[in-house]
Amino acid sequence: MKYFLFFITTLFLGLAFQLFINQCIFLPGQSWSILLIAVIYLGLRRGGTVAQWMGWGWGLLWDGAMMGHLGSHSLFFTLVGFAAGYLRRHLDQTKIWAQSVSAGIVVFLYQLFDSLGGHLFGTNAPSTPWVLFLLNPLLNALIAPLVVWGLHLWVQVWDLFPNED
Amino acid sequence: MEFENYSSDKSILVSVFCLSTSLLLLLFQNHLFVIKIKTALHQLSAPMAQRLSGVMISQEFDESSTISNEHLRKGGDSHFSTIYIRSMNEQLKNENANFLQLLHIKEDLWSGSIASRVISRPPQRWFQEIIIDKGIQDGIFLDSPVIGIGQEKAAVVGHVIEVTPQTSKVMLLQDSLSSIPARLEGHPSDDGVVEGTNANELLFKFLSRDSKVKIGDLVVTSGLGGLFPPGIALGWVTDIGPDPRQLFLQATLSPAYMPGKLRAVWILIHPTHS
Repeated sequence: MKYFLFFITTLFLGLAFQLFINQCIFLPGQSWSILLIAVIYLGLRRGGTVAQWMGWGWGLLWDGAMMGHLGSHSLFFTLVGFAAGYLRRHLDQTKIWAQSVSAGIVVFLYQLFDSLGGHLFGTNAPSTPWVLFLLNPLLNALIAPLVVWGLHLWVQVWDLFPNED
Repeated sequence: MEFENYSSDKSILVSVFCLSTSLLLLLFQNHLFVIKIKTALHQLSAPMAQRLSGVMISQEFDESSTISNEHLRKGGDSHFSTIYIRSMNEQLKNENANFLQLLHIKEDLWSGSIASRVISRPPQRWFQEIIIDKGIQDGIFLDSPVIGIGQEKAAVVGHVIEVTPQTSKVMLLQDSLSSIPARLEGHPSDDGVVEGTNANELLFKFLSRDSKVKIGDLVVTSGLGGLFPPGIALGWVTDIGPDPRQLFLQATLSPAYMPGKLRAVWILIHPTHS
């Protein structure tokens, strides 16, 4: 029951936070991919299974919220969760550089995926100028440790993974 | 259930489930069942987005009222307060004029219009999409024209491309898939098509080579096609040149509405729908 509550609360709080960030802090074309960083964190620290579930849930909610192609974000977020879980044993997830580099790479791939998805499904590709296409991963890499820290505190409050750290 | 005790087999099962459902949803996105799921998911998040957009608007009002109150409290700085109140008054007068203009359009052209608030705007599709808080239940239809307030006139923002019971998705004028029949204001014969560029500018295409277009001219909807009423501002000409095939003139436009301050819009309801 506690796990279920953790999942539901984290899903909706994460979504609310992402919606809030989108409305408050903006430059045309620039975005903070909080949910993506959260999936990476969960994969690297808590394992692939939890990261994939959360990524899938957040992806579906995000597709619903943005009225986009249902399944596109859940597909990408699940893949990110799987990859992060796979890299868990190969990467020191407590290091800030590891969090930043992984966030930067994944946000870059996400932008490519988003553009490709637009072409595949007959909608328009995002209007991100190429400067922001390069800048977005860097900006997300910068905030990644902060997001990871916040999420780490949130997970600790729930006390669901006692032997993790 | 301990997640850490999951075996790799279970983890792979989770991967297969999540990936296959995602792929199925993507493949059958136009299926009624998938549309229902999407609408249900959207309904879940829409109140959240609405509330958050409300927070944003109230924050802006709070900020402006805090500033004015502070200035009023400082009795010694009454000259500055007067200037501030005058400028606020001027701003409100302008906004009022803009709304009256919108009302004129409503009365002159199409009988019905619905005011709506922008509740969400994907940052990566900043110049392409917005989501508004009115939907089928409020009488919104697919392709309904959406207008906003420009610097001096009511201006086209875009048109509705997807509707749910309570919200709608609007394709903005700047989306490169957007194409609107247009003409130069005051020159009915100078007509063409305004297309988006996915950036904060528009292209006015297929202008005759002997067109009288000049920088600073206003381009308005021509009304052809029946999607938009005629005479609504689209953009101001900022540059003119031949098109790539040298057959026509092509003008670059700056959108007439202010994309950075898009908080509220009006949706015009076609007479046949109302």
